[in-house]
Amino acid sequence: MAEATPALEIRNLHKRYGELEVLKGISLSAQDGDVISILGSSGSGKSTLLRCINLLENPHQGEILVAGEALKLKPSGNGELIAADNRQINRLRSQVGFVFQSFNLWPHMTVLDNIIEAPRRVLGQSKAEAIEVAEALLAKVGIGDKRHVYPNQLSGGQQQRAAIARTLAMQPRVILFDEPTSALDPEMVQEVLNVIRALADEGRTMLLVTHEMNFARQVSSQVVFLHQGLVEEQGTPEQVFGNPASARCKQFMSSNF
Amino acid sequence: MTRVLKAIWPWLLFFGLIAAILYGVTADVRWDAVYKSLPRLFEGALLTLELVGISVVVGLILALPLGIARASGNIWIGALPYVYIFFFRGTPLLVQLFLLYYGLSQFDSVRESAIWAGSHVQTTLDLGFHRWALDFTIPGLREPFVCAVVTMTLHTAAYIAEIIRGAIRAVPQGEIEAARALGMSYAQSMRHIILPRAARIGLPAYSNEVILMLKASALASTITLMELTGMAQTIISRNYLSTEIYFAAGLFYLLISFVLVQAFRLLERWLRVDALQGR
Repeated sequence: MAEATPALEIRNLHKRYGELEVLKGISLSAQDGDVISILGSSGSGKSTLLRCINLLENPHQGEILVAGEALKLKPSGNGELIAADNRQINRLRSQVGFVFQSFNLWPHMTVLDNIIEAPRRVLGQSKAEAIEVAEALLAKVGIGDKRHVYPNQLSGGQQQRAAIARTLAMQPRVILFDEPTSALDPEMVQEVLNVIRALADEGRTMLLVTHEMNFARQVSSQVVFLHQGLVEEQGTPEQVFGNPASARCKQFMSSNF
Repeated sequence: MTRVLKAIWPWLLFFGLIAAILYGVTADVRWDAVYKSLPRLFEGALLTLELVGISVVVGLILALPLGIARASGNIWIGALPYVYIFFFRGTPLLVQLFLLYYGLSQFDSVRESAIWAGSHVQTTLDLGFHRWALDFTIPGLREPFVCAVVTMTLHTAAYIAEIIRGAIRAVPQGEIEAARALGMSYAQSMRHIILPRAARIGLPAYSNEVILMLKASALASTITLMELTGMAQTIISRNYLSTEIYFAAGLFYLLISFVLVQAFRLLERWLRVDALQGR
C-alpha cells in the first residue's frame, strides 16, 4: 500500500515516572486531514502521550516523525530522551501546535500581543504582517472585538479561543488539543467545540484528547482508546463507539453515554 | 486634592505626631536651627540619592545574569553566583564597607594600583569622521564615594539576584510551556515571555530593596562621606542640637521614601501588577 508520508507518526513510545510506566509502547500515525480523538479514563496516559509528541515531557523510548522528518533524540543522564538538536526541536514545535487545558495565555499581554509574539520571534514576521494574520484569526474564532483586552478580562471560553488563535498563527501542520474544554464551565464548552469543529471541517490535521464523547464521535476520522498505557482499541468512530471489540472499551463507552 | 490627601494622610499623621511630641517635651525646640540646616541637609540628600540611585540601577543590571543563572537549576551554572550571593547576603554592609575602604588599603600592591588610586585618561579617539579629545579621570576606590557606591552595588546586587531568581521561578510553568510549544528557544522565551512576566512578579520586592538601600546608605557616613546622615552629624558636631538636626534628616529620608514609594506605585499600575496577582 503506497500511502503518503504521514503528517505525524509516533512509533513505540514509552514513558515512565519513576517506577510507574505511563506509556508502554504507543504507535500512532496521522495522515494529512486526519482528526484523531484519543479517549481513555484518567491516568491512561492520554495527556502524557500528547505532551511527549512535542517534548513537553521527555519519553524514555520511541520515535517521533513530523511530516516524515524524524525528531533527533538522545538519552539524558536520567534515562529520558531529550532533543539532540535544539534548532530542530524548536522548528518542529512551531509546526506542531499545542492547545492546553488551562489556556496558558500570557496574562501581562493583550490578546493581540499574545497571538503575534511567536510569529514575530519564531517565524520572523513583521509586526504589521503578524497583526494582520492575528486579526483575521481572532475574527475566525469569534472574538475579533477582544484584541486589545487582557486575558483575565475574558471568559474561559474566550480565553481558550484566543489560545487556539495563538496556535493557529504559527500555521502548524498538526494541532494537538489537550482536553481543551475540561477547564470550562458547561455553557462555554460549546463555543470552543464549534471552533474545533470548524478547524476539522477545514481539513486540518489534529490530535484531540477529550472527554466530550459525542463531539469526538462527530468530528473524528479515527478514534484511539488508551488503557493503562497501551492502545486498547483503534478504528473509525462507528467501530469504536458502536461496536468496540475489547471489554475495557465497551465498559468505558457504556459508562460515558 | 482629596486624592492627594488620601495618599499622604499616614505621613501627615506621623509628622504631626512627632512634631507634637517634640514640642511638648521641649517647649524650646530650636526650629531656627532646623531651618538653617535645611540647605546643607538638602546637599547631603542629593548625595544620598546619587549613592542609592547608582547602586540600585547598576545592581539590577549586575543581578540580572546572576538571577537567571540561579534560576536555571543547573548546579554548575548557579555555583559561582551562589557563592557571591552567600558572601554578600551573609555579611553586614558595614563590614563590607570597612573591608573595602580600610582593608584593601593595607596592601601595598592595591594601594599602588589604578583600582585604588584611579587613573587619568588623556587620549584622542579617532573614528575617521570625527576626533574626540578625551580627558577625564576614573576615580579609584580611594575616593569614599566610589568605595561606597561599589560596595553598595555589590551588596544590593546579591539581594536583587535572589529577587530575580524567585520571580523567574514564580512564573507559572504552563506559560513557559506555551512559549516553548510555539517554538521559542530558551533564550527567546526568557527574553520575551519569562523576564517581562518575572519583572511584574518581582517589582514589589525590588521596590522594597530600594527603600532598604536608601536607609542602608546612611552607613556610608562611616567612611567620611557627607551624605544625609554624614551631613547631619557634621552639623550636630557644631551646634550640639542633635534632636532637631536628626529630626530634620529623618524628614528628608521620609520624603525620599515617600516619593520612591509613589513612583513604584505608578510603575506597578502601569505594568498592571495588581491585575496579574493570584493567577
